[in-house]
Amino acid sequence: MTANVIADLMKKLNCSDLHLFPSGRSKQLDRLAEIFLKVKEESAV
Amino acid sequence: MTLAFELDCSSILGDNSYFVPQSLFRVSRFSTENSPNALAKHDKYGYRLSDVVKLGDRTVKMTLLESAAIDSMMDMKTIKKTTPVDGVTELAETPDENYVPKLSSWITRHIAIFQSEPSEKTRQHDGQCDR
Repeated sequence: MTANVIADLMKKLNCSDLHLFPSGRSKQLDRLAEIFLKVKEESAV
Repeated sequence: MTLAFELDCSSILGDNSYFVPQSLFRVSRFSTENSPNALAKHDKYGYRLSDVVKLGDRTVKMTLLESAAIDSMMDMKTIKKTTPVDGVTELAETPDENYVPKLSSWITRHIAIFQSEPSEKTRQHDGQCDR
């Protein structure tokens, strides 16, 4: 419910979500994305 | 494709963030006399009668929960204080800086304001917050 309150308010104000990663986690997610894409490519072959 | 995956991760991990610029403008009106519609009280200026926030061409009259969302995350600085009627104070405020709050942090701070546990159900009833 709280998430909806905040999301609705930001929507009303036209503040879009930025999908930012907190510092320190960005590299891990980049690495995760690489692995994910590699697995996808290999499984597609 | 990578972008789509990043967005999925962001949603799963709750790392969506909002950019709230300093140009956000908030006008709150308080009265020292109790009002049946007032649900929040300022220590100094009394019961809150209304709370409006503006950003660009958008104007939003906030509910109690929305006001609490702003209070929980941002420090506001008063740029103007007026007394339109005796006993009524109007404050015009803006954030003290640009904010990029994470949604997950914002949620926990908002919950903390109402001193409820995250597992507790919260419902709105007649404009009041029950726990």
